[in-house]
Amino acid sequence: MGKGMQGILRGLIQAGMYLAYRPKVVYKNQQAMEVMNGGAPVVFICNHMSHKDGALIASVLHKKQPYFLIAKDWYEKKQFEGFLRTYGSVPVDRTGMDTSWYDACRKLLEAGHSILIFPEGKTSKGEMNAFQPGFAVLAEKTGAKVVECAHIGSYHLFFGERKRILIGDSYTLECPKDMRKSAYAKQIAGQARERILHMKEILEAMKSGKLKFTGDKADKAAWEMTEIQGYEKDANPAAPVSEAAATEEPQQ
Amino acid sequence: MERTEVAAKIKDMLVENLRIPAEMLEDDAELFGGEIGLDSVDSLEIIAGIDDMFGVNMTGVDKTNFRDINALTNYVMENAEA
Repeated sequence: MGKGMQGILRGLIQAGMYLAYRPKVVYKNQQAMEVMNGGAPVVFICNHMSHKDGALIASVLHKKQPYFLIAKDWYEKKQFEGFLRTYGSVPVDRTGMDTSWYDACRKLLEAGHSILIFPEGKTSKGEMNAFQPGFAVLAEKTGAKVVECAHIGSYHLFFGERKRILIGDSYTLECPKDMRKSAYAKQIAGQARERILHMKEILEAMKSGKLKFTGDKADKAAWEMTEIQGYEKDANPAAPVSEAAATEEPQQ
Repeated sequence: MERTEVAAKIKDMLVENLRIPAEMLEDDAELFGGEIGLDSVDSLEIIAGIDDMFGVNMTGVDKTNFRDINALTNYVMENAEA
């Protein structure tokens, strides 16, 4: 089974996911669209609500054909093993100190493939789990951009509520010289969680009609996001808060 | 490669990549406890660094091999290709 089979399988899954769950995809801005259309590999991160997320979100991100991380116990189930290997996924042993996923993802990124990671590490209903920092370590080490995604909605087959996905900010990570990389990664993970939480609120506002589409319907990047109270349009997603900066006076 | 050279390279990697002050890094200083206090996230950097410098893959290796610079050096010396 080679690339050809992988392409066919991905195509079938993508078609099935779109047909079944009819995802509504929006891009935060033009930059988000450009990253998706660009050739460089990226690390996508997304909130995790269901075991279907890997297939759906990877399908939505089909232009980048990402490999997604999946729990090893699922990867080794006989009924999924062949499919998951062919589709392109990386197993993670959540029960122990497994670092093989990191090595595998590093090699995939170096070979030009994108990765999809659910930093919560497990599904969450309601409140999102804390984000594990591994994606940030990976992105910082390889220089790959991180692309934030959020999704809301239940999985209703063919009818009913549609899944909604927002593709947001992308950024490159660079650990400051005065900061330990693990501390930086944890900080980035915490900040990313907050932003994805906010992205979910934006999606809810779109769903309820509180946030209206203001641009040309053909230009999906023309959404005006600043109406949402507290949304910091110009905030630098990858700006670290080093110990030195934390003691400075806040700028106006 | 001589053992002292390997140990020196590992120390440099720990200073550069993990931002551990050089003065804390005696060869037998515990990396994952005590004063230095690395955690599992830091182990990813160590694994990547050892792989990059020596071509030795430490993925899945028992954590005793990460205890200190001596343990890391021993592992590299035993597993690096000649």
